Amino acid sequence: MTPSIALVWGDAFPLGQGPGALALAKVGRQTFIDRCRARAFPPPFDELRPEAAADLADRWSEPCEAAFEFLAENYPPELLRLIASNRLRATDLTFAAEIAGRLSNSTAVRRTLLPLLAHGDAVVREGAIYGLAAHADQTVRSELARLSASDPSPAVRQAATDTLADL
Amino acid sequence: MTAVLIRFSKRLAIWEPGRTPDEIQQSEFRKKDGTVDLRPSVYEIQLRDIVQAFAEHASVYTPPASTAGIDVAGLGYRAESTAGHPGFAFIRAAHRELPLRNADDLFDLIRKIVASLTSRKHPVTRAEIVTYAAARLAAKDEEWQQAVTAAKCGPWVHKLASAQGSSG
Repeated sequence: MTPSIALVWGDAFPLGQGPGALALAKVGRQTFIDRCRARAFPPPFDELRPEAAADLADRWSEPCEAAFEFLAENYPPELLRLIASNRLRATDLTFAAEIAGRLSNSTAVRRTLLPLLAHGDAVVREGAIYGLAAHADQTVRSELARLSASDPSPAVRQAATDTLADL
Repeated sequence: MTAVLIRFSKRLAIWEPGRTPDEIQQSEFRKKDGTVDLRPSVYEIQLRDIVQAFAEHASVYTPPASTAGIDVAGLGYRAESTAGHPGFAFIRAAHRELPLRNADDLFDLIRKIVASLTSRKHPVTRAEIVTYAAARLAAKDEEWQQAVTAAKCGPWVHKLASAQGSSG
């Protein structure tokens, strides 16, 4: 039987095939994680698992759309953890929430984004609406209907109305 | 008729009263890598064409959202022609960038926009662009038909095309 070749170390450094390569990959991965744990990361990246924080800090110095997309692609639970940490400024949180909408775990997305519909900043509520659009269950629909009817922000009312029309 | 220089907003709420220039910059004038956008994209169009411009611009979005087109013309910054969306000749020809020297220029631009926002903000609703796109697809518009098969086509365009296919 041919073993899997999905053995990588750190940044896609191929180690080959077979039990020896697997063991080496595990050691390499653990070394990478240990090194990450020893590093200090700038906030809010310090909120994340060390290996995710290291991957982010090696690429970006602060939160940004590209960083959120990277997390969505490579560390989906960490993107949700970052959102839930309440350590992103509103103008980052809105884009993180929208990008979280690309994740496949609807239950986790709803659990993280539904509270943002009550956020004090309208720009966050707007982003959360876009993020929830692909994960609408009855609770989301009810919340969107409430926002569409009575949110104090015309922008949020419009976003909720648009999203409801698309469901 | 005077042309406008329209910047489509990423967030409607950011243009509501009470926002600081810092917040507007962070939401509307920042590249995906987090750096300050010193070459913001705009479209030089007639205001009557704003729905067409946004529908074509948003053809790759998921989902299409209502927006505000912010007119940045006449604020002391010259627009340069640059390559636009490859799929639509109209917005490709209308695409411009505002080359700014530094962040001070950008914040000057933002403050000037905010000072006359009421006359510069032109809403475009999701319903308007969906109606526009549906009409173009129904008319067998070649560019819109090609948009449906484009790799980055937004699901909303697919949905419109499928609905028309099943009803026609």
